[in-house]
Amino acid sequence: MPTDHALLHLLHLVSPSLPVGMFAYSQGLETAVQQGWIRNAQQAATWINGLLQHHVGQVDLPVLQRLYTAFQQQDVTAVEYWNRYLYACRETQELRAEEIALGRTFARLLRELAVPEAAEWYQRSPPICYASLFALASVHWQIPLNSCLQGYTWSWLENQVAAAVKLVPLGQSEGQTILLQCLPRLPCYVEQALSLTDDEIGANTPALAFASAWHETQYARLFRS
Amino acid sequence: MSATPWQAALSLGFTQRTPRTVLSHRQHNGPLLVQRPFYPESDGTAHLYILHPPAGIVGGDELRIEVQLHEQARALLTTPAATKIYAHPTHYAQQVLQAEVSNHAVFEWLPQETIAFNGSRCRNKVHIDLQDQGLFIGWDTMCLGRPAIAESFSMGELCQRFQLFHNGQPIWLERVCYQGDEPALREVWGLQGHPVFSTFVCAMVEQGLVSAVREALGEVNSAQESVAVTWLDGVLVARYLGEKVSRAHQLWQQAWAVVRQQCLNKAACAPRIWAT
Repeated sequence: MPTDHALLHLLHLVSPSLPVGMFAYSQGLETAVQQGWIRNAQQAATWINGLLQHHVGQVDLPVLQRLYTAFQQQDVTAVEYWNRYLYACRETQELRAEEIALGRTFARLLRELAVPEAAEWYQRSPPICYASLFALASVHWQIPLNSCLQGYTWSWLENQVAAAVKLVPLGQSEGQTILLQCLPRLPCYVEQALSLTDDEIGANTPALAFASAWHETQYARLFRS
Repeated sequence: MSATPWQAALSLGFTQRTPRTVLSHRQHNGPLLVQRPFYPESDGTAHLYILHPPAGIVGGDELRIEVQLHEQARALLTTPAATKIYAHPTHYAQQVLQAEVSNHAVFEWLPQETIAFNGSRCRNKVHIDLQDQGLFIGWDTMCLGRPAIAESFSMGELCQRFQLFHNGQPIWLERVCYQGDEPALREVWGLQGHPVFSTFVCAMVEQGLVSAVREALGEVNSAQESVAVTWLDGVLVARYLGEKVSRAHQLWQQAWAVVRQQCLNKAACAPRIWAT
């Protein structure tokens, strides 16, 4: 049986044990719970699926696709353009701080894992986004574009569900049920993202911007966003 | 519905000629006009009203306003009435504001709201280019449907884009696009059923301004309305989501007063036309 190196590398990249510290961020979910918007598993699923389709699917994924192509073509100008674009799309100070912190840790890790280009992107201004490095790593390990986008989405989804389990709180099996409910939709969201033109990039999730901005002054917090 | 689409364009240039800012360039095409500037402030800030006599646009129409502020120039632009976007089955109406704010210039863009009638299709864009110490203070308010007559936005499309660049680089980019009756209008991650959304923006400003603006706005969050303030690498962004345009603008005027005091060391000077 042939070894699928790309798949193994993807599993490595999306593993929650990859030490970039994503588990510390809830991306507004902590405030959504505190506001009473999410009180049970069904509401958690609605929130997560909404953000998945209309935020990740309409901003992260189309930009990730463009970054992937840019790295593939070794087009530094395009990488810088889309990296900056993604950062400028982040709606709140906390979401930007998260991007910077994850990007820096991820860049250091990739440098230590001997991904040669990672060193160049470490400690840059403007900062390198997590998604940009995800594209870089995917190209480096020859993970196909579709798998890269699906893996990124899965990783985001798993992190959100873990945050919901902790915050709502939900039972472990309730969390797994949300994952399984969202799973069959991922390919549709990826397909939808691939069809967007540059002009169509942008999230339709205003409640995330409110929740995340409020989180900046929220009194009791477990998460950093 | 207009038989021939209107392509209205207005291009304005402001130059500082101490003691005041003068309207040094004015060119218009179609029904977009300005009156002579007023000077109600001691620092010579030009107050200018942009008039659009038809008051509404429909699919195929375009309203385009270009503003250039040269170094040190100070201008406040407002509109006397809301822009109404009328229903059209296929075509999009376009509304664009494009501004270039040079070093040490101050541009205040404080227009009335845009009302997207049910069935309307509209693309709005606000694009601000700041140089060095240029300052922008502005707001942009959208109303989906006409809540006053219980008209919801069940058909059509509204796209709203806000782009802020500093020295040629994007600092903040936002684009939302709502289809009539789509889940984003109702869902908890979307507009949560509120017809009015508005954004108040100042750039480039210090982070310290955020707490002052949060304090000026006070505790307003309820089931009817929400306000959130954040700071994006020099851009203060305050967002409103609620039921009433008048309420959003009342809040933004409170924020505007604080920003003017802190950034320009002067009091707010509300254009007289707002009182009528």
